[in-house]
Amino acid sequence: MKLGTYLSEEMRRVVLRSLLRTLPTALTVVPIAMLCGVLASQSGWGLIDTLLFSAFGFSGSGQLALLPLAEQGIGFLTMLLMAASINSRYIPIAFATAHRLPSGKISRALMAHILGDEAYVVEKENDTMLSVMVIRLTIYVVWVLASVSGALLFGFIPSEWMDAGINLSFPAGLVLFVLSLRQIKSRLPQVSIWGRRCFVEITLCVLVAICLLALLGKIWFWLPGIAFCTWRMKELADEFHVS
Amino acid sequence: MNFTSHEIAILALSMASVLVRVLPALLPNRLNKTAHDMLQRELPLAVFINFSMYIAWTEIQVEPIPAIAAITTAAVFSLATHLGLILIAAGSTVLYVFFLHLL
Repeated sequence: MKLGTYLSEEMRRVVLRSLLRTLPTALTVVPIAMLCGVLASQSGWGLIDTLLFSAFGFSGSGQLALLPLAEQGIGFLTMLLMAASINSRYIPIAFATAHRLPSGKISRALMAHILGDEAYVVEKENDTMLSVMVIRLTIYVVWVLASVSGALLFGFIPSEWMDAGINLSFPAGLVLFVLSLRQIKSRLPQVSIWGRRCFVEITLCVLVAICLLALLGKIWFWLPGIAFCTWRMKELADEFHVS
Repeated sequence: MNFTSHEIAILALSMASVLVRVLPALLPNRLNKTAHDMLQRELPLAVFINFSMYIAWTEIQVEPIPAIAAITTAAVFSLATHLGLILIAAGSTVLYVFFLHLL
């Protein structure tokens, strides 16, 4: 009885803490998700289709890319290839975070499906499974609800607002950028001590990422970029004998 | 059985999620210590370096000068200070909007 009460109180604390930690980031996805809903409505998508698209697709870049393709009547394989390429960054992320997921196949698959960029930057290495679930689920639910809200609000948005050229994604992108830098800052000591060699390697990784972005574009740069940086970070770790 | 273009898009994006998120998480994790350490240590670092460059690149392509000013400010304050996330994001967004109207 006492143990049960303690566990439920502890669980409540974990849920609340994780929720509070996730909310600021979850709120930044609202404008982008709403934009997805608005654009879907603009392309003639119904409310149920928009809901299913967000719930089963759960990918801002994927949804935004596939909307015009669906409008043009492009085939399934082309859309699949496009969506998988855009989201190929999730392959290493899903591998790297697999140990945080429950062991049951269905719960593992569901938790993997609701993995998003925002959740990945909020999660920490020492987070419990419950904490990871709260973080991912919060962002997922906010995303789906916001995209449906966007679809519902479409009829009330003055058409001139749609042409105003407002970059709604900038604050959300900035939050992800800051969270990514914080992750780099906290993870770097696991690989190397800060010094000239470390600075050179990080600069090299940044420059190669920029060159790959310029040469291959935003869809195809991910895997070579991540492979190169992993190689350089491994060399750095080996040099400093981090084990 | 005929599917509408919307249903095909939903199906394609769902399948993509299975391919890039679900399958890698379901594959058996029988790795040696070196590979395991790399997945926990170097790989996430590599992902975050590329991810931050992806975000910066995306925004710089839309509005180069405002984005460079805001992103540089956000980077400096994130790496050199302990200021909160919201404060850094709000301050840099204000700077972005300021440059946007200035130019």
